[in-house]
Amino acid sequence: MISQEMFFDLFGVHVRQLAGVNGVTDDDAERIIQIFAEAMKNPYMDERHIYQRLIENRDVVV
Amino acid sequence: MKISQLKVEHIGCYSGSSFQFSDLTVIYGENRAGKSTLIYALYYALYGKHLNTTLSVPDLCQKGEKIGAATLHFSHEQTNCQLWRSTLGTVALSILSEDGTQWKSLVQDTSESLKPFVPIPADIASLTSFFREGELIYFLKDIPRYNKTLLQQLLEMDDIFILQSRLKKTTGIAKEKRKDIQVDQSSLKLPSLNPATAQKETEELKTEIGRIDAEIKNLMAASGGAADPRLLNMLQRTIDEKKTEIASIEKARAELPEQDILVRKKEEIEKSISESTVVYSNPDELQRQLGSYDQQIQALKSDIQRLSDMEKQPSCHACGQALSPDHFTRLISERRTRCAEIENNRKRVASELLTVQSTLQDQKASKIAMGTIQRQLAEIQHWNGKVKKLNDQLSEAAGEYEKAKGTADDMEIETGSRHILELQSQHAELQKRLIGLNIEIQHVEQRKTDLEKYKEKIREADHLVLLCEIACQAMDRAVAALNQNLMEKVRESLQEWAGHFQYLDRFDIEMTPKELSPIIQAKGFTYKLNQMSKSERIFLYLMLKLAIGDAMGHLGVFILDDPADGLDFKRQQVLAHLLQEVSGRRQVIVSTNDDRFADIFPTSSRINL
Repeated sequence: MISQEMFFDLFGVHVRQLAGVNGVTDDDAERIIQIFAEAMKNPYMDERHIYQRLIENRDVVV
Repeated sequence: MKISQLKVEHIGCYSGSSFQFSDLTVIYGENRAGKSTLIYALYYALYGKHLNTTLSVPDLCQKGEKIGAATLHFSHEQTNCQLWRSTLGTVALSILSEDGTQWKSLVQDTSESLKPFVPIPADIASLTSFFREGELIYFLKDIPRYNKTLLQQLLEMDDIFILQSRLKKTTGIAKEKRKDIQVDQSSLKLPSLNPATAQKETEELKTEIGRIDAEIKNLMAASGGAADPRLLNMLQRTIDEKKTEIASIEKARAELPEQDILVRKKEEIEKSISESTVVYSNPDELQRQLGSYDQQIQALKSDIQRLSDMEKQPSCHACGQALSPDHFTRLISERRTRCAEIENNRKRVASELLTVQSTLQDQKASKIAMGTIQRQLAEIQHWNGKVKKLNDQLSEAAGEYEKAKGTADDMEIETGSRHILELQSQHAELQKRLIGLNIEIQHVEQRKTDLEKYKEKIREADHLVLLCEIACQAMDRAVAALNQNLMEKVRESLQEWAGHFQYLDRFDIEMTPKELSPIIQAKGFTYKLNQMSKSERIFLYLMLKLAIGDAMGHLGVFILDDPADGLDFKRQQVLAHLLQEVSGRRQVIVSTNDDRFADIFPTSSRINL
């Protein structure tokens, strides 16, 4: 991508905004942003890996 | 940023060279003179990367050299900077002191530290501040390709779209998991049992059981505490069992002879055996004697026959001597007498053998009979012992029964026992029901716990779906915002640059917000990109680069590697004019191998390789 940084910043802004509207905690919003950053850097991180990262270290295993 | 000087050591064809740059610099040289190398060296000095993504940094080094270096002098926001970078990755930035007398070293580590001085990322700079002829390959073809808009293609947004698609699929997975949990939960049905009612029933059962227990105790106490029906039943059962066992033993014993008879027979046999003390000859020896007698008799008879034959002949066959009949008669008579004696002996021995054999047979039969009698006697003794033992047990059980029965008569016992038994049966039923009810209550509690767990899981699954949806929405909005923000700026910038690109005046070029693809209209007709001439597309491409540069940021320098290639002289003149226009707003560095194109520019701004 031509400017990962620019897009990453845009994504982060919107995630935080949507998290606030939907009552999602700041921690969860940062988790999404962190996982998104990993997925951007790693082209082999597919949907299953993203989902796996989302459910990691959660109290209830879905 | 304004680039003033570039020094290269062991880069490409340069062992050690220095180049000065003005606002508009033309680098002129024949093919393989090192024009592109200079452009690459500029990009490398700034970003430590190769501008041509198909090549690597070591490819920059001069042939035979392992290390090359580039030093770039530039000014940024009124600061004079000197950026040195070797192909080993070492970087050093120095800034000139305000009095202009000495260089002060600032950073010697990563490109991150260079950000304040080289603020545009490498990939954006590559798009907005550099032009390579290779870039045109796709642009000159029919674009946009693969449903991508022109801008998307220029911005290389494939990775974003892939990630966008993956986030949507992640949401799909999260929803699928939630659905699975819901299905599992729906299969978990609560039993129809009402816990409150069940609890009440349990209490009632306990009360009823307590009442029956008390009643049984009272009844047993009232019957003297003796006539416990369960004990009486058990004792009666024991007595019956013993009696049955004794009867079956008696039946088996009745099939055997009387014990007295057997004892008498045994004594008789023992007596007969003890009396027969006579020593008998060995039957085998007698048999051998008989055989011997038979042989002797046979031999004598044969001799008598031979002598009788000889008696009838007048002379001997062998010697011819005359034979005496009297002599033969005497010899025959002697042999007959001897034969008679042997036959008598044989008869005696045969008789003796018969007697011995008969006696031995009798002795064997007696022994067998003795064995049978002894076995039967042992069996009778065994049965007698067992019957005695059973009788003892029977007497004991009968005594116990009598003791348990106490003073109550049979009628009273029967009535009391029946009542107690009924109560006990009722007690057992209630206990059974109570246990069943407790199990059901536990089952319901377990189901409730399971349901709570499922609810918690569903809440978590909902939360995950929400997180995924937020990520998707944020992605969509970021893409839209990127497009929208850029689009606005690109559109504005295009209008501005269109004034300079007079060559494209006959076209009405605008970027549509939806498609992000330029709409080109001329004389009322809409053109597709591939309906434009090559030179028109080159100019459009340069204009887009400048406009995108305004939108996304640029270095303040526009560096072009051989942009005039493929243009006729008239178009080259237009391009040169355009670049001069651009140089009023950005520093321009342009390379060419076309002397006519190079000659269009003032000679003061020229680097001849």
